[in-house]
Amino acid sequence: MDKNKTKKVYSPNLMVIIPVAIIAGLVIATVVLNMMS
Amino acid sequence: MKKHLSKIIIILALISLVGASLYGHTPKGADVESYLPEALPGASSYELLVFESAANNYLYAGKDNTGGILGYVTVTEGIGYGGAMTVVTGWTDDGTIKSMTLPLHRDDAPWIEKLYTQNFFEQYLDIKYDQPLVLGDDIDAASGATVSSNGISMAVHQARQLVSEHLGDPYPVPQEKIHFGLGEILLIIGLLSVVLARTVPALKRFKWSRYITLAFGLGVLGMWLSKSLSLTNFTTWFISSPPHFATQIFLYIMVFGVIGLIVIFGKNMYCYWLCPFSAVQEVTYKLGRGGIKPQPGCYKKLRRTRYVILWAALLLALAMANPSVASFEPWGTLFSMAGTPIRWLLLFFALAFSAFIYQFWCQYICPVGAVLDIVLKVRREIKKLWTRIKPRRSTAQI
Repeated sequence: MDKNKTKKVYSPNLMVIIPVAIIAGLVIATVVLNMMS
Repeated sequence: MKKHLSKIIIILALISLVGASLYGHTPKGADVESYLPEALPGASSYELLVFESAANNYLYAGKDNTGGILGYVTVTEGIGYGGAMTVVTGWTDDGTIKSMTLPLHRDDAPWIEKLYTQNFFEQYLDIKYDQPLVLGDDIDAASGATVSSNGISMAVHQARQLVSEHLGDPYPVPQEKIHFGLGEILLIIGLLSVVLARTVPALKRFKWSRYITLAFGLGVLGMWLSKSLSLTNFTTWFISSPPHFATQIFLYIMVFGVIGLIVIFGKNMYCYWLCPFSAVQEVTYKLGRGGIKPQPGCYKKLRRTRYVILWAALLLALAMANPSVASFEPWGTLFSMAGTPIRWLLLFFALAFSAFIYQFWCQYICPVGAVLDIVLKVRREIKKLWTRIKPRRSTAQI
């Protein structure tokens, strides 16, 4: 069986960590603004 | 050690949530009397005539300098999307509505904004207590904010009852009809379709069945009804009052249907299968031709972000005793086309990232997915415990 067929290619972790951090920051900002409104 | 650490973190998180809930439930002494001057300007004093503690309803008489009755003020509650909403109504001495304000509510700000922009409150002005006030017939619900409109309508009916009883001509709160219509039927069809697609072997092999249910969810729950499962639908049970059954049966079917199916089948039938925002992300990912995928270890850790966000949102919502504090999901903004600038920004980034990272919001951020995963985990643990106890019982019987 050709192993390459099932081999998964991963991206640098930072390419996902940074978007998650940005969205988490925006979520916190939204919640804080909800509290203030 | 690692296992103990995660247990300690879970226990600390639960303790902090209980603490926040206790703080949120401590009486903050809502100053009802501060609402009165705005509702009935000109009155020099106010006398409390009726207080119904069970319903939290008040009737005040506004008096002039000579002690004559100038009018009445009612402070009553209805149930909106996020729970109780307080409506203050000013009445003339013959029972005609002259003012209406909403000083306290737990609904999302964009929906309340719709009530004001569509002049919902103005419809009640100059209506006398003995005139009909049926929402949908005499009063138009604000489009896109029907649940909030309904909550206010409930509060006005309570107010009218107080005033009419005091004036000696009781006008009881009309019996609410159960709103079971096409939306509720389609929701049940959607949930059952997913059950069939995921349990019937012949359909399980059919890859496109998921796209069909997702398209159904996008069309019905997203574009048509704009009612996706939200964290507010869960938090409102703990923080405020449960949704009004007669008018919000849809929410009952949604919450208990999804949780019930998890309990019965051990599968989450909503996420990735019926959620309209998941459908949108499926499209953006196809358009963006993404493919960004973290390594398995990092993926597993990043998935825990959902629990941290869930915990933080719950903590603040419980402490503030307001479910709408935890309302930040981008589908509300997308499908209702209403939101604050920060919500539009959140929606923009969530969709942009979903073009490159598969189901970005669902996998790493979604608090609803985290709640449903917790239900799944609890079910799994109970099942494990049961299988451990069961053999012992049967051997004990032998």
